Amino acid sequence: MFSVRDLPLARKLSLIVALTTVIGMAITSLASMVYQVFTFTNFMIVELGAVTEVLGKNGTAALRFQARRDAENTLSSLRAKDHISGAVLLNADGSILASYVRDDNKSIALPAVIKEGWEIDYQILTWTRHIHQDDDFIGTIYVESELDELYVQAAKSAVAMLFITLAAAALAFLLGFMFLRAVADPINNLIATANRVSKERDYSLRATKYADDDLGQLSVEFNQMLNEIELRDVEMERRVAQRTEELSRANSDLSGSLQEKVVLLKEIHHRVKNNLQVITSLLNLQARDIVDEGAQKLFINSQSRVQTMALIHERLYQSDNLSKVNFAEYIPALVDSLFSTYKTGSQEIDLQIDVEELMIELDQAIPCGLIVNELMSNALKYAFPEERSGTIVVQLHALEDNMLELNVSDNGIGLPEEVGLEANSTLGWQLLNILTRQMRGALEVLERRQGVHFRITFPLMLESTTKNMV
Amino acid sequence: MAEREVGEYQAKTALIYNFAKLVQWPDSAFIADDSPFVFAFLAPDTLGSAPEILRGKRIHGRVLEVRYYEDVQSIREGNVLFCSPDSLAKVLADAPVYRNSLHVLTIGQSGDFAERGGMVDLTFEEDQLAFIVNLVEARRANLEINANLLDLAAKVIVD
Repeated sequence: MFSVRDLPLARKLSLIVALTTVIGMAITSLASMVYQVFTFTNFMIVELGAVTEVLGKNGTAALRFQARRDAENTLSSLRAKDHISGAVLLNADGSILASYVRDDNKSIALPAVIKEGWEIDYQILTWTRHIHQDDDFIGTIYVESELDELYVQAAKSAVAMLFITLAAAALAFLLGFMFLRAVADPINNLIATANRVSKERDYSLRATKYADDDLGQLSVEFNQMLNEIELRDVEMERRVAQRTEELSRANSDLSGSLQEKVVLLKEIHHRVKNNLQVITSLLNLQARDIVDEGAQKLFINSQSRVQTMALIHERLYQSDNLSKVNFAEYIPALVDSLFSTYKTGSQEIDLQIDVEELMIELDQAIPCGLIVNELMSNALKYAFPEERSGTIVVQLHALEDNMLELNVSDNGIGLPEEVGLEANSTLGWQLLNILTRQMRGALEVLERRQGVHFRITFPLMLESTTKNMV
Repeated sequence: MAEREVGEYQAKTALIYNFAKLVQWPDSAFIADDSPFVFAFLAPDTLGSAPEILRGKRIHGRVLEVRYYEDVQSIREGNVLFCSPDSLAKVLADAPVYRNSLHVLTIGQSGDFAERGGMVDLTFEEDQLAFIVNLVEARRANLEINANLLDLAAKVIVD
């Protein structure tokens, strides 16, 4: 919808000037027309007064000598005046000596009481003048004038004023459009500059100052504002750069510190692993000297358990993550180690390892590794006697709800009836139960006759929770 | 003829001519549309030869003729008759001109011409040429004398 508010500034100013001109001209024209009508009416009154005076003087002799023809001739001179519709020359006694009517079809209606002077209404102007001869009243002249000429004059004035008003308005609009650019151009320039600054984020732009007027002052203030923004940006960039440098330096310091800690941790894990391996080697050397086969097995079991823990630390210092162990790498290494420790015969034992890429915290990785160690070592020691062949399967998968499932099974001879599964039956079982509890897990024996199948389900501990484990 | 008289006659001739121009004759005063306008001078008041200057002029759209008559009986035509007061009574009673038209403007130059039944009496007032009008006689003859002319008259007899 068209709205004056949305017009460009120059067009709006031109319109305002034109409207002001039209209103001003209309008021002036109206006043002028009223003045003209008033003046013309006065002129008509004065002119008709002069006419009646002349007629009175010219009719004096006719009245005096009752010369009707002369009186009529005198009145007929009014034919030269188009606006005079009629006249009557009256004797002193009020009888009509002569009369004149412009339109023969009309007649003059004399007023009931004839008063000297003029009277006017919407249609006619009348002038009455008494005629004297040597101070004697000898008659009266009465003249009527139509006001058509007045209305025609007023109409002409109105039309002329209308044309003048329209012409003035058009001229004002055009001149306004031309001259008001002096006002609109600085503002438009200011708006264009502001738009460009807003769109391009270029605070180096400046508005043009056209003159030392208010708009020029506004441009200066606007440019000053841009200056301040630009300076503020420069200062901000300087501060950001300074802050970034500080942060970078701090980050570098932290990285260095972290790196030192990583190196330190790796060194610790390395040393722990080395120490555990020393223990393993000591247990191995000690076991060689033991004659009792049962005691020797206990040494070997302990060696295996220490080795299991050493492997965890080896995995940790060899990886980038110093707190979590990737079981997809750890389990195969552990199984290899157990194989080399316990497989003494020449039977074919197939190993099937199916472990997901799972990162497990150190505190949970050690009990989990020890559980695998216990179950694998049992399988290697007891499942395949007398050089029997078979398969051992190790599986570790993630379940729903952040749960993990560890399956260790074999297709060996199964568990003899006399082997109990109570927590206090053997050290191995005790360890299994303790380690499972430590992981807040559950141990199930799914099969014990046709091979053995253990399943342990446990929640994957987060770092914060693993620290609280006992 | 004295020089003063010549000047007076010329002035009176001019006055008569201009006076006649300001008097309206009825149409019946003329026999035909092309009838001349006749200025008649009855002896002995003939204003000398001064009226000769009027010959050939036109008045009221007609050719002006100047005619001189020696006696009343010989006056056959005349729209303006200049005569003495003594002749006036005879003229009014017996002049053949009245058989053709009663509308004759009679003009004289004595102090009582108008009072004795004439219409215009050329006279002097304070050495200035003036005239007296007998409006009653003029209207009786259906002659309309311009009111403004009457206004200039030294005297107008209206009743």
